[in-house]
Amino acid sequence: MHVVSPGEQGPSEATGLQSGTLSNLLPGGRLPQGAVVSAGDDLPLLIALAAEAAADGGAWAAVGLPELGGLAAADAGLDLACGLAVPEPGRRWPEVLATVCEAAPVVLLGPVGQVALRTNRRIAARVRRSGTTLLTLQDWPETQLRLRVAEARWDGLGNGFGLLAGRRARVVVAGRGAAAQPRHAEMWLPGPDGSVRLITEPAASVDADVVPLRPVTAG
Amino acid sequence: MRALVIWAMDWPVVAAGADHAEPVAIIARERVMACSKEARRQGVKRGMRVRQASGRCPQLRLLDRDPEAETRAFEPVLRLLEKRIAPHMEVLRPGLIALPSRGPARYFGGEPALVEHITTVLTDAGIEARSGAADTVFAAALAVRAGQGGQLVPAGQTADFLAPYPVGVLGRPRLSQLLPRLGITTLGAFAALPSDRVLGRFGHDAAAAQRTARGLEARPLNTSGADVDYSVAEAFEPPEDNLEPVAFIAKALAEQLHVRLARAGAVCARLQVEAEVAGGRRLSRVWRHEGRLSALAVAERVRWQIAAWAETGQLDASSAGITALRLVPEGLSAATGRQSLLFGPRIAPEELEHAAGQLQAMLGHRAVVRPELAGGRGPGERIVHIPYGDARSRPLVEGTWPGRLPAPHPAVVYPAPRPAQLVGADGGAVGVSGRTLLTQAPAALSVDGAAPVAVTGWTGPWPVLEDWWIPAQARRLARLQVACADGRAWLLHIQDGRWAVEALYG
Repeated sequence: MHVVSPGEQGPSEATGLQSGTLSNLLPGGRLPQGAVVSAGDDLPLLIALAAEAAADGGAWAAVGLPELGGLAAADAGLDLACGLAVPEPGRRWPEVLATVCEAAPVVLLGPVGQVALRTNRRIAARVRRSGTTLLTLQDWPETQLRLRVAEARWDGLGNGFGLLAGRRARVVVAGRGAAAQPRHAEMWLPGPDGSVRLITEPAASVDADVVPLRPVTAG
Repeated sequence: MRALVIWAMDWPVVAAGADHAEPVAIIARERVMACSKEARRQGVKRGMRVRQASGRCPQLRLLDRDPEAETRAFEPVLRLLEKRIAPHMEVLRPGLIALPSRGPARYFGGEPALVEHITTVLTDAGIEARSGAADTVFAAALAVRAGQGGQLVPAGQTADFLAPYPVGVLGRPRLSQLLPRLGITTLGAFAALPSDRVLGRFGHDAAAAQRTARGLEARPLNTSGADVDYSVAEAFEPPEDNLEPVAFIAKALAEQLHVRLARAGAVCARLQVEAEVAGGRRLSRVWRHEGRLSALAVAERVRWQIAAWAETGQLDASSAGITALRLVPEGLSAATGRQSLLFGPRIAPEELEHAAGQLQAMLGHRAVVRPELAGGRGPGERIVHIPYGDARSRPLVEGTWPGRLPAPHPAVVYPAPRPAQLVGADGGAVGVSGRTLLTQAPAALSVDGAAPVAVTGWTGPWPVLEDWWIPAQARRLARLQVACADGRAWLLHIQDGRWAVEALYG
């Protein structure tokens, strides 16, 4: 398994990449267009992927995600002003999905239950035609890139004191073709300020009685 | 309020210098936009495809539409009318003008007399035109096409006049698709629907459309804040006699104006384009806006207008160029509809607007939303979902919210809190004392009946007392952050002795 260290840059020509973000894990340094990417049932990871995909201020749409935390999304870098959501598409979700794929380059899809294989293939074809990046919460058979959180631990809470500081997560990426070799990395997902980045400092030794203080603002 | 609309027929053909005796058609977007009398006689109609039109009339001469030339050619007509009829002419498009008719009608002795006078003036100038009148500009624009030479709809009968027209004339593609599906094909049927239901089901834009169908002004004029000036202007130092830089600035001004209006939540019925020339003289022209023009469309019209002024010699003479360009919005009203293409500081891409419209037609107005920040403490209150196309009812006022939880914020926020059980080491439920202390340390958490998971860390409780001065809305609860052995962290609250989960951090 290929472990990505924070200093290593993904093979990408794009100059606008910040060092140490989710893009380091992705093959080519960016999410594929016209493809389906799954987030292994982890909503913070889905949000991080959406922020990565819509980073240049592109429009996005969320279908079937009534529980999507807007503040978490905004902190991760997703621009709330650029998107629309259909929280409850109901039984017509494939139609809704087809409509938004024509309009937005980044689409998030929530849990829609069991999907027939034919519907799957049709959606994959539609996504390929329109060049949309479809980010699904649940796993799909036609997925080109599969990300998941293998293990996670929240920092900051002691025994009756402290405050949630961030989640250390080990994110694993596996895909088809060029991305066949799985890669993984330790990330803040989310970090103390809500942003998503690779972890540079070594984990503090787990000591339930001592929690480092950090300043928080009121209001 | 009475509006009169004057229609110089087939203006694009006249402006192109073509003769009505030969078959000519003006083409825009591969469809016939206007045609000469001879072409019409041979069966060419507006809206036809080019191939079909050429089939009907083989000698048809096709010309591309040139809105700038149309504006330029129309400028002398406008000046003539302003001199002989009334000074407040509003351009809907070159060839179609609207004016408030009460004053001029009184002056000339009644509306029929006014119409006769206008026809005389224009015929003397060699222009064929008809007039229509009604209580609103929308109805008058339809009246001018009705009847033999345009119809004068008597006051108060506008609704009856509009009733038989199809819903397509409203110019709203979404409604035109949706209403026939519900069995509503005429404006009369649409007007008869209860207005609160229309508002709730289709949104504010449809409510404005319904008012139009009822023969009323789409939006009541906003008289409060009448002293606030939303006009935008740019001065040219030294005076500019080259038209290109002025046109370029016009685009920036148009965008600035739209941002200003959107921020104020206003829509202007008319837009006055004003140019000041060296020497202090001012040239102005009023164009109809109604919130239906994008910044680009406004910039285009300003460019045509300036070119028209230059062509008709109003910018030459002693003047050394344009010293200032001003765009003044008039007839402001509250914009509670989506016709503006802005939301937030960004321009919504057209495709997204279009998709939202289609989805709302499919699922209802409230099914498509966009998230916006709001005040509040808990994660559920801090984001509101506004139906797409609605402006915010109240602007966000940033205040301090003591007790608000800081970042990182939960990724999963439940629309309704899910019941949970929090038990201590002895298996008994954990409670919160009056002094906001837990009765015992929590050991396991079970959410919504799932298997209990061990608690690895917790903090709180933070008491929340909201709206205590309104007994019906008072909330008294305490929040707790809990991290579990399965790597998830939750935001819980206890209210009336019962625990519930508000959000899942991840």
